Amino acid sequence: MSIRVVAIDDHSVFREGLRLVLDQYEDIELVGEAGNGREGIEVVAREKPDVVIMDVNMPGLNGIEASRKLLSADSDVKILILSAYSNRRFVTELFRAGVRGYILKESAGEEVIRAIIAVAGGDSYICPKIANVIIKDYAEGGGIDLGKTAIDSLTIKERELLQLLAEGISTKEVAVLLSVSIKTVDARRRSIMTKLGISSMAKLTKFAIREGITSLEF
Amino acid sequence: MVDDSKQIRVLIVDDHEMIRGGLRTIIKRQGGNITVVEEAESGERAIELCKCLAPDVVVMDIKLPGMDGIDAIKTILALNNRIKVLVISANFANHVVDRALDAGVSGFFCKGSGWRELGTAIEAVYRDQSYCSESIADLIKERAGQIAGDSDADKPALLSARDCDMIRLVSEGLSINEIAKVFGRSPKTIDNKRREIMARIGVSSIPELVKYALREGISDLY
Repeated sequence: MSIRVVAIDDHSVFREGLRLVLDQYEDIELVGEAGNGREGIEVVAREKPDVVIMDVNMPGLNGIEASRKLLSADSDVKILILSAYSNRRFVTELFRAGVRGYILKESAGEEVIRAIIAVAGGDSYICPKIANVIIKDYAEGGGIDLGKTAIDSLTIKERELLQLLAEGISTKEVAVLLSVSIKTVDARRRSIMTKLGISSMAKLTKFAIREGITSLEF
Repeated sequence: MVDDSKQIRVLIVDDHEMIRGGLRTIIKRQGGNITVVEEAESGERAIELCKCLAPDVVVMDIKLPGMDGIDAIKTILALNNRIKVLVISANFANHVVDRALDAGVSGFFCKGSGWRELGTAIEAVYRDQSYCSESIADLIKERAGQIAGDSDADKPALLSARDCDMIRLVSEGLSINEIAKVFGRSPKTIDNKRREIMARIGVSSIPELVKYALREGISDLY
Protein backbone atom coordinates (compact mmCIF):
# COMPACT_ATOMS: atom_id res chain seq x y z
CA MET A 1 0.00 0.00 0.00
CA SER A 2 1.31 3.40 -0.88
CA ILE A 3 2.07 6.21 1.57
CA ARG A 4 -0.56 8.94 1.31
CA VAL A 5 0.81 12.47 1.72
CA VAL A 6 -0.74 15.93 2.13
CA ALA A 7 1.48 18.98 1.44
CA ILE A 8 0.82 22.31 3.19
CA ASP A 9 2.91 25.17 1.79
CA ASP A 10 2.01 28.68 0.65
CA HIS A 11 4.30 28.62 -2.39
CA SER A 12 2.57 26.83 -5.23
CA VAL A 13 5.81 26.54 -7.16
CA PHE A 14 7.29 24.58 -4.27
CA ARG A 15 4.27 22.27 -4.15
CA GLU A 16 4.69 21.66 -7.88
CA GLY A 17 8.33 20.78 -7.34
CA LEU A 18 7.41 18.45 -4.51
CA ARG A 19 4.78 16.77 -6.67
CA LEU A 20 7.38 16.24 -9.37
CA VAL A 21 9.68 14.54 -6.84
CA LEU A 22 6.92 12.37 -5.33
CA ASP A 23 5.55 11.36 -8.75
CA GLN A 24 8.77 9.48 -9.37
CA TYR A 25 8.02 7.08 -6.53
CA GLU A 26 5.18 4.64 -6.98
CA ASP A 27 4.92 4.03 -3.26
CA ILE A 28 4.15 7.64 -2.39
CA GLU A 29 0.99 9.43 -3.40
CA LEU A 30 0.29 13.15 -2.97
CA VAL A 31 -3.42 13.11 -2.13
CA GLY A 32 -3.96 16.73 -1.12
CA GLU A 33 -2.44 20.20 -1.02
CA ALA A 34 -3.15 23.42 0.85
CA GLY A 35 -1.73 26.94 0.72
CA ASN A 36 -1.95 27.75 4.43
CA GLY A 37 -2.35 26.11 7.83
CA ARG A 38 -6.08 26.73 8.13
CA GLU A 39 -6.89 25.13 4.76
CA GLY A 40 -4.38 22.42 5.55
CA ILE A 41 -6.21 21.32 8.69
CA GLU A 42 -9.36 20.82 6.61
CA VAL A 43 -7.54 18.83 3.95
CA VAL A 44 -5.91 16.61 6.59
CA ALA A 45 -9.28 15.99 8.27
CA ARG A 46 -10.75 14.97 4.93
CA GLU A 47 -7.88 12.88 3.53
CA LYS A 48 -6.46 11.36 6.74
CA PRO A 49 -3.00 11.04 5.15
CA ASP A 50 -0.14 8.91 6.47
CA VAL A 51 2.23 11.88 6.44
CA VAL A 52 1.62 15.65 6.52
CA ILE A 53 4.36 17.74 4.94
CA MET A 54 4.22 21.15 6.58
CA ASP A 55 5.88 24.50 5.85
CA VAL A 56 6.47 26.86 8.81
CA ASN A 57 6.20 30.40 7.45
CA MET A 58 2.71 30.69 6.04
CA PRO A 59 0.17 33.52 6.04
CA GLY A 60 -3.06 33.13 7.98
CA LEU A 61 -2.00 30.26 10.21
CA ASN A 62 1.68 29.32 10.46
CA GLY A 63 3.07 25.80 10.52
CA ILE A 64 3.79 25.78 14.26
CA GLU A 65 0.23 26.61 15.25
CA ALA A 66 -1.22 24.37 12.54
CA SER A 67 0.92 21.47 13.83
CA ARG A 68 -0.24 22.12 17.39
CA LYS A 69 -3.85 22.10 16.27
CA LEU A 70 -3.50 18.91 14.24
CA LEU A 71 -1.68 17.12 17.06
CA SER A 72 -4.10 18.25 19.75
CA ALA A 73 -6.95 16.78 17.68
CA ASP A 74 -5.05 13.57 16.94
CA SER A 75 -1.66 12.90 18.53
CA ASP A 76 -0.94 10.16 15.98
CA VAL A 77 -0.77 12.53 13.00
CA LYS A 78 2.69 12.22 11.49
CA ILE A 79 4.01 15.64 10.57
CA LEU A 80 7.20 16.21 8.60
CA ILE A 81 8.35 19.83 8.59
CA LEU A 82 9.79 21.08 5.31
CA SER A 83 10.98 24.65 5.84
CA ALA A 84 13.55 27.06 4.52
CA TYR A 85 14.41 28.04 8.11
CA SER A 86 16.34 26.23 10.79
CA ASN A 87 16.21 28.63 13.72
CA ARG A 88 16.34 27.15 17.19
CA ARG A 89 12.96 28.45 18.25
CA PHE A 90 11.15 26.80 15.31
CA VAL A 91 12.96 23.50 15.79
CA THR A 92 12.33 23.34 19.53
CA GLU A 93 8.72 24.46 19.40
CA LEU A 94 7.86 22.04 16.63
CA PHE A 95 9.43 19.00 18.26
CA ARG A 96 7.79 20.00 21.51
CA ALA A 97 4.47 20.11 19.68
CA GLY A 98 5.13 16.55 18.51
CA VAL A 99 6.23 16.68 14.89
CA ARG A 100 8.15 13.58 13.71
CA GLY A 101 10.62 15.07 11.29
CA TYR A 102 12.25 18.28 10.10
CA ILE A 103 14.09 18.79 6.84
CA LEU A 104 15.11 21.92 4.92
CA LYS A 105 13.83 23.09 1.57
CA GLU A 106 17.34 22.98 0.21
CA SER A 107 17.22 19.18 0.61
CA ALA A 108 17.51 17.08 -2.52
CA GLY A 109 14.45 15.14 -3.67
CA GLU A 110 15.98 11.87 -2.47
CA GLU A 111 16.22 13.13 1.08
CA VAL A 112 12.58 14.20 1.04
CA ILE A 113 11.65 10.67 0.01
CA ARG A 114 13.83 9.13 2.73
CA ALA A 115 12.23 11.40 5.33
CA ILE A 116 8.67 10.57 4.23
CA ILE A 117 9.37 6.83 4.35
CA ALA A 118 10.98 7.10 7.80
CA VAL A 119 8.17 9.17 9.28
CA ALA A 120 5.46 7.00 7.72
CA GLY A 121 7.16 3.94 9.25
CA GLY A 122 6.99 5.44 12.73
CA ASP A 123 10.56 6.70 12.91
CA SER A 124 11.81 10.25 13.25
CA TYR A 125 13.87 12.04 10.63
CA ILE A 126 16.02 15.16 10.71
CA CYS A 127 18.45 16.44 8.10
CA PRO A 128 22.08 17.16 9.12
CA LYS A 129 21.55 20.93 9.48
CA ILE A 130 18.64 20.42 11.86
CA ALA A 131 20.75 17.87 13.76
CA ASN A 132 23.36 20.63 14.16
CA VAL A 133 20.80 22.93 15.75
CA ILE A 134 19.62 20.25 18.17
CA ILE A 135 23.10 19.03 19.11
CA LYS A 136 24.38 22.57 19.65
CA ASP A 137 21.39 23.33 21.81
CA TYR A 138 21.94 20.18 23.84
CA ALA A 139 25.70 20.70 24.18
CA GLU A 140 25.15 24.21 25.47
CA GLY A 141 23.18 22.71 28.28
CA GLY A 142 19.93 24.10 27.02
CA GLY A 143 18.71 20.53 26.87
CA ILE A 144 15.76 21.62 24.72
CA ASP A 145 14.66 24.01 27.44
CA LEU A 146 13.75 27.31 25.85
CA GLY A 147 12.85 28.84 29.15
CA LYS A 148 9.58 30.67 29.57
CA THR A 149 9.24 33.64 27.31
CA ALA A 150 6.45 36.13 26.85
CA ILE A 151 4.97 34.17 23.96
CA ASP A 152 4.42 31.14 26.24
CA SER A 153 1.93 33.15 28.25
CA LEU A 154 -0.43 33.26 25.26
CA THR A 155 -3.05 30.60 24.64
CA ILE A 156 -3.31 28.78 21.29
CA LYS A 157 -6.28 30.97 20.36
CA GLU A 158 -4.40 34.13 21.27
CA ARG A 159 -1.41 33.12 19.16
CA GLU A 160 -3.72 32.38 16.25
CA LEU A 161 -5.25 35.87 16.57
CA LEU A 162 -1.83 37.49 16.99
CA GLN A 163 -0.75 36.19 13.58
CA LEU A 164 -3.85 37.53 11.83
CA LEU A 165 -3.56 40.94 13.53
CA ALA A 166 0.13 41.17 12.66
CA GLU A 167 -0.76 40.52 9.02
CA GLY A 168 -3.00 43.57 8.96
CA ILE A 169 -6.28 41.65 8.77
CA SER A 170 -9.14 43.83 10.03
CA THR A 171 -11.10 42.94 13.18
CA LYS A 172 -14.18 42.29 11.06
CA GLU A 173 -12.39 39.86 8.75
CA VAL A 174 -10.70 38.14 11.69
CA ALA A 175 -14.10 37.59 13.34
CA VAL A 176 -15.35 35.91 10.17
CA LEU A 177 -12.20 33.79 9.76
CA LEU A 178 -12.27 32.54 13.35
CA SER A 179 -16.09 32.33 13.54
CA VAL A 180 -16.29 34.51 16.66
CA SER A 181 -17.88 37.90 17.38
CA ILE A 182 -16.08 41.19 16.92
CA LYS A 183 -16.41 41.70 20.67
CA THR A 184 -14.55 38.46 21.31
CA VAL A 185 -11.79 39.49 18.92
CA ASP A 186 -11.42 42.83 20.72
CA ALA A 187 -11.37 41.19 24.15
CA ARG A 188 -8.79 38.64 23.01
CA ARG A 189 -6.61 41.36 21.50
CA ARG A 190 -6.69 43.35 24.75
CA SER A 191 -5.76 40.21 26.66
CA ILE A 192 -2.77 39.60 24.34
CA MET A 193 -1.55 43.18 24.69
CA THR A 194 -1.92 43.14 28.48
CA LYS A 195 -0.06 39.83 28.81
CA LEU A 196 2.77 41.04 26.59
CA GLY A 197 2.84 44.55 28.04
CA ILE A 198 2.55 45.99 24.54
CA SER A 199 0.39 49.02 23.86
CA SER A 200 0.57 49.62 20.11
CA MET A 201 -0.20 47.66 16.95
CA ALA A 202 3.25 48.56 15.60
CA LYS A 203 5.05 46.99 18.55
CA LEU A 204 2.75 43.99 18.48
CA THR A 205 3.65 43.45 14.81
CA LYS A 206 7.39 43.58 15.56
CA PHE A 207 6.95 41.15 18.44
CA ALA A 208 5.11 38.70 16.16
CA ILE A 209 7.88 38.91 13.55
CA ARG A 210 10.62 38.39 16.16
CA GLU A 211 8.81 35.31 17.45
CA GLY A 212 8.35 33.86 13.96
CA ILE A 213 4.55 34.10 14.23
CA THR A 214 4.41 36.09 11.02
CA SER A 215 6.98 36.97 8.40
CA LEU A 216 8.13 40.07 6.53
CA GLU A 217 7.00 38.36 3.37
CA PHE A 218 3.31 38.77 4.03
CA MET B 1 13.64 39.94 -35.80
CA VAL B 2 11.60 37.63 -33.63
CA ASP B 3 10.64 34.35 -35.24
CA ASP B 4 7.29 33.19 -33.83
CA SER B 5 7.86 29.51 -34.53
CA LYS B 6 11.19 29.48 -32.76
CA GLN B 7 11.46 27.86 -29.35
CA ILE B 8 12.28 30.22 -26.50
CA ARG B 9 15.16 28.55 -24.67
CA VAL B 10 15.07 29.13 -20.93
CA LEU B 11 17.64 28.64 -18.18
CA ILE B 12 16.27 28.30 -14.63
CA VAL B 13 18.45 29.53 -11.75
CA ASP B 14 17.48 28.73 -8.14
CA ASP B 15 19.39 27.08 -5.32
CA HIS B 16 16.50 24.79 -4.31
CA GLU B 17 16.06 21.61 -6.33
CA MET B 18 12.35 21.50 -5.61
CA ILE B 19 11.77 25.09 -6.68
CA ARG B 20 13.62 24.38 -9.93
CA GLY B 21 11.41 21.33 -10.44
CA GLY B 22 8.32 23.40 -9.74
CA LEU B 23 9.35 26.10 -12.20
CA ARG B 24 10.10 23.46 -14.81
CA THR B 25 6.64 21.92 -14.36
CA ILE B 26 4.88 25.27 -14.46
CA ILE B 27 6.72 26.36 -17.60
CA LYS B 28 6.04 23.02 -19.27
CA ARG B 29 2.35 23.27 -18.40
CA GLN B 30 2.07 26.66 -20.10
CA GLY B 31 2.84 24.83 -23.31
CA GLY B 32 3.55 27.07 -26.27
CA ASN B 33 7.03 27.54 -27.51
CA ILE B 34 8.98 27.76 -24.27
CA THR B 35 11.57 25.07 -23.46
CA VAL B 36 13.68 24.76 -20.32
CA VAL B 37 17.15 23.87 -21.60
CA GLU B 38 19.01 23.66 -18.30
CA GLU B 39 18.91 24.41 -14.59
CA ALA B 40 21.57 26.03 -12.40
CA GLU B 41 21.81 26.07 -8.62
CA SER B 42 24.22 29.01 -8.30
CA GLY B 43 25.30 32.22 -9.99
CA GLU B 44 28.64 30.65 -10.93
CA ARG B 45 26.93 27.71 -12.64
CA ALA B 46 24.47 30.06 -14.38
CA ILE B 47 27.34 32.02 -15.93
CA GLU B 48 29.00 28.81 -17.12
CA LEU B 49 25.77 27.58 -18.70
CA CYS B 50 25.07 30.93 -20.34
CA LYS B 51 28.52 30.72 -21.94
CA CYS B 52 27.94 27.34 -23.54
CA LEU B 53 24.17 27.30 -24.09
CA ALA B 54 23.37 30.97 -24.75
CA PRO B 55 19.74 30.68 -23.59
CA ASP B 56 17.21 33.28 -24.73
CA VAL B 57 15.85 33.95 -21.26
CA VAL B 58 17.28 33.39 -17.78
CA VAL B 59 14.60 32.97 -15.09
CA MET B 60 16.41 33.64 -11.86
CA ASP B 61 15.98 34.03 -8.13
CA ILE B 62 18.53 36.59 -6.98
CA LYS B 63 18.86 35.24 -3.47
CA LEU B 64 21.56 32.64 -4.02
CA PRO B 65 24.28 31.20 -1.83
CA GLY B 66 27.82 32.09 -2.86
CA MET B 67 28.03 34.62 -5.66
CA ASP B 68 25.52 37.45 -5.40
CA GLY B 69 22.65 37.04 -7.90
CA ILE B 70 22.92 40.60 -9.22
CA ASP B 71 26.66 40.23 -9.81
CA ALA B 72 25.92 37.03 -11.72
CA ILE B 73 23.40 38.89 -13.90
CA LYS B 74 25.94 41.61 -14.66
CA THR B 75 28.49 39.02 -15.72
CA ILE B 76 25.95 37.16 -17.87
CA LEU B 77 24.85 40.32 -19.67
CA ALA B 78 28.45 41.42 -20.18
CA LEU B 79 29.17 38.06 -21.83
CA ASN B 80 26.09 38.11 -24.04
CA ASN B 81 23.77 41.07 -24.09
CA ARG B 82 21.16 39.25 -26.18
CA ILE B 83 20.22 37.17 -23.15
CA LYS B 84 17.16 38.50 -21.29
CA VAL B 85 16.88 38.15 -17.53
CA LEU B 86 13.59 37.74 -15.66
CA VAL B 87 14.07 38.04 -11.90
CA ILE B 88 11.75 36.14 -9.56
CA SER B 89 11.45 36.90 -5.87
CA ALA B 90 9.04 36.70 -2.98
CA ASN B 91 9.46 40.35 -2.15
CA PHE B 92 11.11 43.20 -3.91
CA ALA B 93 12.66 45.87 -1.71
CA ASN B 94 13.60 49.22 -3.26
CA HIS B 95 17.33 48.61 -3.07
CA VAL B 96 17.00 45.20 -4.75
CA VAL B 97 14.95 46.69 -7.58
CA ASP B 98 17.46 49.52 -8.03
CA ARG B 99 20.41 47.15 -8.26
CA ALA B 100 18.58 44.79 -10.60
CA LEU B 101 17.52 47.60 -12.95
CA ASP B 102 21.03 48.92 -12.88
CA ALA B 103 22.35 45.47 -13.82
CA GLY B 104 20.04 45.45 -16.84
CA VAL B 105 17.31 42.92 -16.03
CA SER B 106 14.27 42.92 -18.33
CA GLY B 107 11.55 41.77 -15.98
CA PHE B 108 10.41 41.24 -12.42
CA PHE B 109 8.14 38.37 -11.50
CA CYS B 110 6.63 38.32 -8.03
CA LYS B 111 6.39 34.83 -6.49
CA GLY B 112 3.05 35.74 -5.00
CA SER B 113 1.51 36.38 -8.44
CA GLY B 114 -0.41 33.80 -10.39
CA TRP B 115 2.05 31.42 -11.95
CA ARG B 116 -0.05 31.28 -15.08
CA GLU B 117 1.51 34.65 -15.88
CA LEU B 118 5.01 33.21 -15.98
CA GLY B 119 4.75 32.21 -19.67
CA THR B 120 3.54 35.71 -20.56
CA ALA B 121 6.46 37.20 -18.65
CA ILE B 122 9.01 34.97 -20.39
CA GLU B 123 7.56 35.77 -23.82
CA ALA B 124 7.50 39.49 -23.09
CA VAL B 125 11.15 39.73 -22.11
CA TYR B 126 12.09 37.46 -25.03
CA ARG B 127 10.39 39.98 -27.33
CA ASP B 128 12.53 42.70 -25.89
CA GLN B 129 9.70 44.14 -23.84
CA SER B 130 9.95 44.70 -20.14
CA TYR B 131 7.67 42.89 -17.72
CA CYS B 132 6.68 43.25 -14.13
CA SER B 133 4.01 41.62 -12.01
CA GLU B 134 1.00 43.81 -11.35
CA SER B 135 1.52 43.83 -7.59
CA ILE B 136 4.88 45.58 -7.93
CA ALA B 137 4.24 47.61 -11.09
CA ASP B 138 4.08 50.98 -9.31
CA LEU B 139 7.22 50.31 -7.33
CA ILE B 140 9.17 49.29 -10.44
CA LYS B 141 7.96 52.26 -12.47
CA GLU B 142 8.94 54.63 -9.71
CA ARG B 143 12.40 53.11 -9.30
CA ALA B 144 12.93 52.80 -13.07
CA GLY B 145 12.13 56.50 -13.42
CA GLN B 146 14.73 57.32 -10.81
CA ILE B 147 17.37 55.13 -12.40
CA ALA B 148 16.76 56.18 -16.01
CA GLY B 149 16.20 59.88 -15.41
CA ASP B 150 19.19 62.15 -15.96
CA SER B 151 17.78 64.80 -13.72
CA ASP B 152 16.93 62.85 -10.62
CA ALA B 153 16.79 66.04 -8.65
CA ASP B 154 13.73 67.22 -10.60
CA LYS B 155 11.73 64.17 -9.69
CA PRO B 156 10.05 63.84 -6.34
CA ALA B 157 11.43 60.82 -4.51
CA LEU B 158 8.88 58.25 -3.42
CA LEU B 159 9.45 59.31 0.19
CA SER B 160 11.01 62.43 1.60
CA ALA B 161 13.26 62.30 4.65
CA ARG B 162 10.36 63.69 6.67
CA ASP B 163 8.04 60.94 5.35
CA CYS B 164 10.61 58.38 6.48
CA ASP B 165 10.74 59.99 9.93
CA MET B 166 6.99 59.69 10.15
CA ILE B 167 7.07 56.02 9.12
CA ARG B 168 9.82 55.35 11.66
CA LEU B 169 7.89 56.93 14.52
CA VAL B 170 4.69 55.08 13.66
CA SER B 171 6.69 51.85 13.42
CA GLU B 172 8.12 52.47 16.87
CA GLY B 173 4.63 52.50 18.25
CA LEU B 174 4.18 56.22 18.88
CA SER B 175 0.60 57.45 18.89
CA ILE B 176 -0.64 60.16 16.54
CA ASN B 177 -0.67 62.62 19.45
CA GLU B 178 2.93 61.82 20.34
CA ILE B 179 4.06 62.20 16.73
CA ALA B 180 2.17 65.47 16.46
CA LYS B 181 4.22 66.79 19.39
CA VAL B 182 7.48 65.67 17.79
CA PHE B 183 6.67 67.49 14.56
CA GLY B 184 4.98 70.44 16.24
CA ARG B 185 1.82 69.96 14.18
CA SER B 186 -1.78 69.16 14.97
CA PRO B 187 -2.81 65.51 15.40
CA LYS B 188 -5.25 65.94 12.53
CA THR B 189 -2.52 67.08 10.14
CA ILE B 190 -0.31 64.19 11.21
CA ASP B 191 -3.12 61.67 10.80
CA ASN B 192 -3.87 62.90 7.29
CA LYS B 193 -0.19 62.81 6.39
CA ARG B 194 0.08 59.24 7.69
CA ARG B 195 -2.89 58.14 5.59
CA GLU B 196 -1.47 59.87 2.54
CA ILE B 197 1.92 58.14 2.96
CA MET B 198 0.27 54.75 3.47
CA ALA B 199 -1.76 55.19 0.29
CA ARG B 200 1.37 56.20 -1.61
CA ILE B 201 3.37 53.11 -0.62
CA GLY B 202 0.32 50.90 -1.06
CA VAL B 203 -0.31 49.63 2.46
CA SER B 204 -3.63 49.69 4.24
CA SER B 205 -2.81 48.81 7.84
CA ILE B 206 -0.27 49.58 10.56
CA PRO B 207 1.22 46.04 10.50
CA GLU B 208 1.82 46.35 6.76
CA LEU B 209 3.39 49.78 7.28
CA VAL B 210 5.71 48.32 9.96
CA LYS B 211 6.75 45.47 7.63
CA TYR B 212 7.41 47.97 4.83
CA ALA B 213 9.61 49.99 7.21
CA LEU B 214 11.53 46.88 8.26
CA ARG B 215 12.08 45.71 4.69
CA GLU B 216 13.32 49.15 3.67
CA GLY B 217 15.54 49.55 6.71
CA ILE B 218 13.58 52.57 7.95
CA SER B 219 12.91 50.91 11.29
CA ASP B 220 14.59 48.15 13.33
CA LEU B 221 13.03 44.93 14.54
CA TYR B 222 14.44 45.39 18.05
